[in-house]
Amino acid sequence: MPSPLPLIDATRSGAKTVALPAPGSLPARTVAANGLIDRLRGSVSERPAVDPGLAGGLRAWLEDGTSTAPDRGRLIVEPGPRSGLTVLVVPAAGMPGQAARQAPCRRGAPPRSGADLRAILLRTVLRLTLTAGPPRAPFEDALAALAVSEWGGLVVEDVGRLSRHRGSELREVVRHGATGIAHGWAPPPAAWLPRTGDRVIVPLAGGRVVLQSDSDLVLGAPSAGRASVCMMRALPGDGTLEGGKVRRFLMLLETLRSGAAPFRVASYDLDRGRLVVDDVTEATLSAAVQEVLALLRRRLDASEGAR
Amino acid sequence: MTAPAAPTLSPMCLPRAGALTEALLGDGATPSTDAVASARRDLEHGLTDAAGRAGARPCLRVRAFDLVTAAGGGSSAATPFRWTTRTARRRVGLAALRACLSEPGMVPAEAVALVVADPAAPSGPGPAGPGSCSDWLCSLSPPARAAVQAESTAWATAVWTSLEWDRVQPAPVVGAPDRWWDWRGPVRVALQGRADVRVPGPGGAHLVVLDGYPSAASRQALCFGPLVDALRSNGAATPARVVAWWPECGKAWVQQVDGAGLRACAGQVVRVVRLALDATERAG
Repeated sequence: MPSPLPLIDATRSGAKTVALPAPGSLPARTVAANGLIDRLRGSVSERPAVDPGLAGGLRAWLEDGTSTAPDRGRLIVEPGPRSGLTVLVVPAAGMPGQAARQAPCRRGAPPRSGADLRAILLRTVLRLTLTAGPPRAPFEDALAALAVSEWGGLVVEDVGRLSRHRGSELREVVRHGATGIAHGWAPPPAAWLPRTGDRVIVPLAGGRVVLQSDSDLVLGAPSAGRASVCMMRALPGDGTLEGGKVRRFLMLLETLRSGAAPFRVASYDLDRGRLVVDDVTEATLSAAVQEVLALLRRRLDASEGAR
Repeated sequence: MTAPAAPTLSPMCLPRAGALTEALLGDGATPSTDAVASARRDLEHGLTDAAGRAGARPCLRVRAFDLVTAAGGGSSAATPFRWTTRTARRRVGLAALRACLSEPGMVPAEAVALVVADPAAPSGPGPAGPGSCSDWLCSLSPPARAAVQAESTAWATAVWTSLEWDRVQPAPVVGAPDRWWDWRGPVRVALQGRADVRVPGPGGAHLVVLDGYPSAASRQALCFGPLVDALRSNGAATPARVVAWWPECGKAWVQQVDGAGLRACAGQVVRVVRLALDATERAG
């Protein structure tokens, strides 16, 4: 059993709760950034049995809702660089999944903002911390790690284009954030099967719509009948409506991929060093489907309006 | 050319590893030597026809990846290879899986850490040498290595938890070197067959771990590894089936290898070679 930590009620701490379909019923909790992995895992006895038909039902709902998606390109739904969910439109040609992977870091895209760069660098520091312990020089180490990743070189280029003053500011902000990360996180025991950067891609409507995300930490073996997986993604600023959408999106994607719902999904607030935890229920998964379909509908309506 | 149908695994079966293991160990005969000879004739005839119009050019390498890319309307030549966390994760992950299989109790995160800490060791990600994965890893700073470790751990854990390994008999061969088949006609063509896990022996199977998600184009490439094995061995070492698995989307396809599948794949190889030769002609 993890050591008991003071749970901070989301409403008392000022964190906003989420909407859809029953805003008050979603079990978001905020915990102090200490022993965060224990908080994420919770107790084994709390893990519910898996309904093996649920994933199929959710997929059918999504397929139904996306069946009229146009064939002009691929619609990619993913967590945005800072918060919430975004929809990107990319050309449909090429390898399955390739366009989806390239979308967030495509060459020729406008340079990322300072806030985007900060979020990317801090997520990299978090992954390094969870893999090999806190980096000694967080800013430089994050850049070194990004330089060898598939698209991270473009981020390194963006950082290199900053003025000396803004570069120093960014270094200081990353150093400060890394201190908070080192305080709350450490490499989990290998027996928990930890993985960072775990990517999920769910194609719908014959690949015309792609839902995708990546998690900063996933723990647990695949389900054998009882929910066994928990996951966490870092977000700059959380406890908000948009953070809740991202958490529900993550749980939906993992359910569709593995056929079994995870038991818990959390987001780590990079600004305040807090973990916001949602237990996974049918209600939260249904909310996630509604949110994805509503987002796509808005995007398609906007496209039609522009035409 | 119609690609063979490949049944998918039911997403309702939990644990998934049980279903995937069943698929890998399923029944089925390997294609006859006549079927292999027929595919070889089709391939050699098609290559001769395609190469007849071509001028001198270096050896053409064809991989399963090229078949999928060509079927999807893309060109794999547009993206030159370089080592990254993503391209290295398979090599490092396979070395880690071998360690997990040989050391009871070891789990992927531990095994990957060992591989990354000493890439030049015999248990590393492959032979050393200029351009090799192990030389690249040795050249990296500690944080860059940690990034490779993170990506490789995610990949290795996905593969490690995808099968019930103790049920796979005879003992699987994990990450065996790629197999090649050379054709030396007017143009030299080399087919590079790859499987992440091979179940050896009669009625054997390949497990192929793929990125992204499957599409109609993916079907074209499922029989490519078995085709290379069949051509090399004149049918003596052709696997009976291929299980293709996409961990990022959780889908798996099972393809029984038969004469029709091998001939269809041979046709796709000829198409890829034609496209490459046409592109060279246009560029020249």
